[in-house]
Amino acid sequence: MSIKDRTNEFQSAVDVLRNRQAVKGLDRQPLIPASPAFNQSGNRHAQKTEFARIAALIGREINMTTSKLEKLTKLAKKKSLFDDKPVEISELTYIIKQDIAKINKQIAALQEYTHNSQSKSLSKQATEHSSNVVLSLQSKLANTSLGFKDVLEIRTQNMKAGKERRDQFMFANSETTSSVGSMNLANSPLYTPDRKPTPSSLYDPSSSPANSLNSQSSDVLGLGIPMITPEQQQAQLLVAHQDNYIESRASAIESIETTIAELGNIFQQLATMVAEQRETVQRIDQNADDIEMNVSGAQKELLKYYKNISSNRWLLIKIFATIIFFFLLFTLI
Amino acid sequence: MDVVKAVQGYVLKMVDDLRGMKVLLLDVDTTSIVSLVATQSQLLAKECYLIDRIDNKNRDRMRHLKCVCFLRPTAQSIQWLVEELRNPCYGDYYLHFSNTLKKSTIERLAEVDEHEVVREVQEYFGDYMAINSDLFSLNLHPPQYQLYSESLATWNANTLERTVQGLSAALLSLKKKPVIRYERNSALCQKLAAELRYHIQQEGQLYDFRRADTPPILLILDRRNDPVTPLLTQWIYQAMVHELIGIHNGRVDMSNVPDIQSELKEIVLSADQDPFFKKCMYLNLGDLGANIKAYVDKYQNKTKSNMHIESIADMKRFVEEYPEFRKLSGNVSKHVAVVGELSRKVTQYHLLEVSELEQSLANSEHHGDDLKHLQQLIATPAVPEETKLRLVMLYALRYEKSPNNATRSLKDLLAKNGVSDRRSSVIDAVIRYAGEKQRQDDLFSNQSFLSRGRSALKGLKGVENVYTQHTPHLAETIEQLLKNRLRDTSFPFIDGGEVTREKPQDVIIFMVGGTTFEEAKYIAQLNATTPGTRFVLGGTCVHNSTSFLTDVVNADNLIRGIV
Repeated sequence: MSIKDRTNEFQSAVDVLRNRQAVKGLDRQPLIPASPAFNQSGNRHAQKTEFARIAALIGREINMTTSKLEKLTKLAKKKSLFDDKPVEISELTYIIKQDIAKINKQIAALQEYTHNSQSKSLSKQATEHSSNVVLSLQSKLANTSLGFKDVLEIRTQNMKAGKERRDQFMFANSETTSSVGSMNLANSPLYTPDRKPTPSSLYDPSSSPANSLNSQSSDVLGLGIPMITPEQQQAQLLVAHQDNYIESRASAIESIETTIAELGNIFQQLATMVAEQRETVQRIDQNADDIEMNVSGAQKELLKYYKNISSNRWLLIKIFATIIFFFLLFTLI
Repeated sequence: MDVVKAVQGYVLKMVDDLRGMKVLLLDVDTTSIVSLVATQSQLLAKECYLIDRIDNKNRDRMRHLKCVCFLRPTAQSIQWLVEELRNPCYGDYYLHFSNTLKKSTIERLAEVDEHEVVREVQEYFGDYMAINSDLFSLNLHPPQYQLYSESLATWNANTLERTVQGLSAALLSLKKKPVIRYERNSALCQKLAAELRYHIQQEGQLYDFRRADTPPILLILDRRNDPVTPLLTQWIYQAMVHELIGIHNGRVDMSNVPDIQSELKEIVLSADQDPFFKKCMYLNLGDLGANIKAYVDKYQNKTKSNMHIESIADMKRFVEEYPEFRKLSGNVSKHVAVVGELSRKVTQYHLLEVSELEQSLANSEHHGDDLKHLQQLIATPAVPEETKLRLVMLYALRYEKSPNNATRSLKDLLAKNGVSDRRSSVIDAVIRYAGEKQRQDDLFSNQSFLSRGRSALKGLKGVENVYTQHTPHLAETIEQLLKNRLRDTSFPFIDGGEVTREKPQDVIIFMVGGTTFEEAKYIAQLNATTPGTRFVLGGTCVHNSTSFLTDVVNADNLIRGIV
């Protein structure tokens, strides 16, 4: 006895119908008071649509701003030094800033508008709705501006980082240029060994005599002194530069050294690992050999058993035949 | 596998689930369904104080009562129900439908339930008439339900729908999801099988029962393969009452019987409530006579013991036993009246001779003897015309292909004995309806050498009773099914269904075009003698010879109308 209960289906059908009727009732309500009310409701409709239109407009603008912001973020997150587009970024930033300001103003206007219409005795739900809409728009805007701020921060950080890096490069550049200069100076045998020490060794001890000479014959050598002093200054500067450069080289070499040492360590570890692996592989090889041996042994045993059985089978058949024979003998007679 | 218990279970559950006083509201179809399985007193015991029809407009308003509705979901009764729900007479409504409801119907009911009086909507699959525990019928009689629409190969759409509903309800109430087999040559069977298969697939979740070890088998057969069984005179009690008086929904109309008491004008024969009928329904008239005698003797003893009232104890006993005694006396007089009427008709219509010839025609091949006998009977004026026609029909069916077929001369003889041409045209109609060409199997076992030999062997064995030697064609089919020898070519499985090779445990046989009580008796015997396999027989209706011939003539008019 099978029974199917369809009460639930029936009840759900009733519910559906009830809902449908309820909806219909709502629709009918504003229609019951006739034409005079109709105008008002139409007016209200217009208000509502005005409000909705502005809100939609603001929403769309916020969306557009957000998309712009995304573009900006993409640009700002680029870390390459060369593909930097500062002009575009600054332009976008400017635009977004303006947009946000504009949207803010618009929202303020909308709020005012809703306040005004509130005084016009809209229904409680409608005012709540409009204030909710304004609030949500504001929060959206706030989110957007927060994002904008974040992007700007990222941008400044990136800029800072880029600058640092560039500074490094620039420093190195200046160093290299100076070193090239100094190298030139240093390498040219004409200049360095002779020229650099010579002024110091030649001129220093003879400076006083020279001075004395100068003082003595100031007319002749008075022209020479101003010529010597800038040169000396330059040389001193050059020496300082060279020191700096050598120090940095040394530190670089040191770091390379430590890296190489670390690498060596790693290679050693790798070697021990490989050695371990070899052991395991050897063991696997051995095991495979064992297995092969076992399998062949088992096969041999099976063959033996098979021979055993086949000889038994003949016996069984013989016994069975005799049984059948006797059975037939007894049943048929 | 007891259809009466199944439907009874539904009805009692319906009224039992609800506490307190209630009304049972039925429609045209469910009234007969319920009346076959439940008595008024049974329903009263469940506090069901009022039983009424939903189409009765003059019902009183009783808002304090709960209402149990049991309806067939037909357009008509849904309409009545809609009107009832619009203007409810009772407090709460518990709707029960005898078949699956459409979604749209539920919505429609939900729509009109403005007073919110509907508490429950349920589907109880009791959508068929349970006659015996293993026999159900759909009671599809013309003119409301024509079987055929254009030719003998097409269903009437309305009847097909009702049949699919009824059969699927039977399957659901028995909790069976069967594999379906059908007779290959019958387009009707195939169509029904396909529709049912589709229905089972559509309502897959309803048929999601615990799987049996071997799937039950639904065997769909066609009446046209066995036109003989409904034409024979019956000697089994139940079949005989149906043949000679007529059983409609378990009721027997005795008003045409001469000298009948007024209280016996209409009687109820139900195996469920009448132990004597249950015992005797499958006995032949002779055994029945003996049983009736014993029954009457028992009654006599009771009467005698009731005569002696000497002490207070006797009086007490008498008062206690009196209702029982009344019941017994009512039952005895009922059965005596029925049997008396039966035996009166037997002698009046010379049924013993007629039946002897019928059995000979149905079972064995003795052309010369049969013909002589038949001519003799046709000349006898006491034999009614219908019986003569039936005999000639049996003759025509049996010797249809025989070289010395004398149907034509027999028809002339009939005409001479005052049977009009219009009436004797039914003979040709039967041949057209279920002649040799229309049948699938060798019904008379006279078509091949092997089957002739087999029937000759059967003849050697001798027969117990001359009047009941015929076994319906169904028996052969079932035997083959039990031995697993039913050929797939003549009884194919429906496409897309599963195929089983095991010995079936549950077999549901459905006879398109109506079954007979003789077959029901065979199935009952089979149920008693084959342990491990259960059978249920169903049909679009239950035939006696009259209703069968009406069907045949109807079908024939239809075909010829088209031709």
